[in-house]
Amino acid sequence: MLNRGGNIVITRGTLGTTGSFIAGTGLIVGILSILWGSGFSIFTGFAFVISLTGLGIWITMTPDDFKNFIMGRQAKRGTVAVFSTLLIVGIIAMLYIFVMRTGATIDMTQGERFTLSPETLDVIGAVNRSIEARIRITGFYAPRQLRLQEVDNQYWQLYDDATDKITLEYINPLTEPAKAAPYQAYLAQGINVFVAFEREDGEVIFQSTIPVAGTNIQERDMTEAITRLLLRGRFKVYFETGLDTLSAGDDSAEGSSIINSLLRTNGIETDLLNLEQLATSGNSIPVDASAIIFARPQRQLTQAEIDVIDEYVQRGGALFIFSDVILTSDSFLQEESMFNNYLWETFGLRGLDYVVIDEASSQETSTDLVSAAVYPGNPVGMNLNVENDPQSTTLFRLARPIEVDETPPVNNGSVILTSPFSWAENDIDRLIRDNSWEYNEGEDIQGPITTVAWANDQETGSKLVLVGDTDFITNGRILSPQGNSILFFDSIGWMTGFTEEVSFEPQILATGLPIIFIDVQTIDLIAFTTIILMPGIMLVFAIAIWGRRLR
Amino acid sequence: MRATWIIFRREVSAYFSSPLAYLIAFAFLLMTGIIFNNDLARSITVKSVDPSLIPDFLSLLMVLFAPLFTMRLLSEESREGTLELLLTAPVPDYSIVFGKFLSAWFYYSFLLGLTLFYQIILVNIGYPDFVHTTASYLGIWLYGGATLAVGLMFSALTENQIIAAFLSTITLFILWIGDLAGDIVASIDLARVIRNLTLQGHYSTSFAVGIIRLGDVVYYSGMIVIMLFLTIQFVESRRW
Repeated sequence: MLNRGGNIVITRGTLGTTGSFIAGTGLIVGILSILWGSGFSIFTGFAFVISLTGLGIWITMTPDDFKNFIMGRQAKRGTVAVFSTLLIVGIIAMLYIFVMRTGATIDMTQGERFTLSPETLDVIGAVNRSIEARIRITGFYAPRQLRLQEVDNQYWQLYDDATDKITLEYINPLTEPAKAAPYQAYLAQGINVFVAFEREDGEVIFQSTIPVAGTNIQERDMTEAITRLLLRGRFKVYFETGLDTLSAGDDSAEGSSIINSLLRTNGIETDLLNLEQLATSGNSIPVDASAIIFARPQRQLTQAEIDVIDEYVQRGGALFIFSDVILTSDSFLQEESMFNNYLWETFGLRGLDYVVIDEASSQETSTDLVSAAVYPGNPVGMNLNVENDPQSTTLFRLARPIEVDETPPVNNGSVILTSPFSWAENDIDRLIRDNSWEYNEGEDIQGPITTVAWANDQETGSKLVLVGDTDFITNGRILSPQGNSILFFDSIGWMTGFTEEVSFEPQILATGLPIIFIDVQTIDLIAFTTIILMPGIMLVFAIAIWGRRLR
Repeated sequence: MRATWIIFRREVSAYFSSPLAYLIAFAFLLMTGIIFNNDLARSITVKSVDPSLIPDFLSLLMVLFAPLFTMRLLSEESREGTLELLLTAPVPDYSIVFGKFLSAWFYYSFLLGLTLFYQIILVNIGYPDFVHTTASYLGIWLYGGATLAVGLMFSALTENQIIAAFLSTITLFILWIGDLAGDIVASIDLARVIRNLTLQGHYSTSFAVGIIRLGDVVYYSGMIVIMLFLTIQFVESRRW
């Protein structure tokens, strides 16, 4: 560009080269702007105009150079090279697309995690046998969850491939907010996959939606959700309302809307039942009642109401009763009340007018009872007090004892017991008045004390779970600790028969890899071998070769 | 084939007689060793060992190491003028490229083989999911082959080893980070397309979780073929 005199000299060749550079750059920028903006824009047009201008300069200034570029030897060979490369890329791309569409996959996991287990195939068989059931799996995945979707899809696709009755749909909640809006409450909790029945026209029946838990054990989560969906309507639990009980629609900390909502989420229908009205009108408890929940009734039952309950029990009904010690003349389940006597005679269980004190297994005060011992033999208690999981205990505040008849008319037993350092305090007045207690031989009952018990009449099929506390099912307590909700749902599952239908052992759990146990010396030896010895040998080789070369 | 075999042997011999190759092996084993021990210490009494730990780590490590393995292969020959000699010899261009690529892949396989020692340790102290590990190793072996093919292509482009290494590192990093396209692109379809073009996208949700998808095998094999074809074109262009 500079001559010997230091002046700038612009030649035709320089202009031609510059023109070719501008033409190429403009063309690339134009193509990129089309790809990036998904269309033609003003910027794209501007880039192409610049490119054409550069091309014009190139052709005008160095026509021979341009001619060589498009017709010379290099151009011919270059063109062949470009087209042959494009051909290779095209062939490989087509092969790739074809193979991806075949979905050929080999499951290389020890537990065959990416292969449906026999239990899941049974559930899919039930879907196939069901005439009307068409199921839609709907997954909401934002772009940032693309990798999660890729992994999940490999499971969900197995269900889709296994039957024509299960279809799969993915929705991006960012671009389709209207479709995501009804699921917003779940999406906010991190639950993003749902199963629901589908109408013949392909529309999802939103009311049937069951969320799929996201525990990273995808097969179990999905199969359980589909099972719950299939069982929807088969189980119905009623909340008794005529005894001034806790309200299943109350969202406050003292309400019990959470258990109501969780029951529905799990495919169990819920409804309200007024025992007083049934007794007055002479009606019976509905035949579809799988269980009835009595959550903290505030008064004693009349004989007419007990008769209604007895009729239900005689045809195999299930009662889930929660009772506190309340010091009024009309309080529910008083020791000598008619209904307490009825439970004793029918199931061999009854509430006692004491308050349980536990000096060893409690929290802030000795009346805040942590489940000290659990009988694992019954399904109600089998998931409580799991080793190394403090959240799996229950926490009752001011509980009453439950007496279990040792010569019962039906099968019965304890579920939760207090520690041996507990007792049932008889002096409730003093406890309420002074917040103090003391064990008195002869007046109080020495622990361990039963706070939850079960009974099952195998002749009629009727079942009872009697709990000496009511706070634990309120919204403020049901999830803290988790043992409270475990007790509630395992009880419901046992009483209704729901657990037997839903629970299964997916393949991944049966073959889960055990954790490893090694001593400190072994850890040190492994660290020495892998961090010092192995790399060290390579370093010695490098130094030896370097030294030999120097010589 | 004979010419390919001769060049392969010559390059393998060059690798194993160079202190640089052992220094790379030293760094490679040191890093994988630290990662292995870190996971082992966290696993004890808490969880089962991660069957694809080392291959997962190598998927990132190869972004840095593949250019080191390949940067000298053609650019050094070009700078020293020995490539012209090779091109005038009765050896097809593809034999030169194949021989050099296979030697780099062999060296990588050798290093990968050394990390199997960790699996031997695990077999003796725990219950590793060995079939899952096999899938992960197969995936990272193919992944490594593709990264080496990219590195070799850039080595053919320039005489400067540093520039070749720099360009291939940048390219491999893009092919690695593209797996996270969903984090920056609003359209999930575009993110999926970008992800399908990346090396990591064909490893992290298939081989790494214990499944072998034929499509991913075709992707890596295809990537190797395309990159080697381009390399051959670049080498041949010297004759034009």
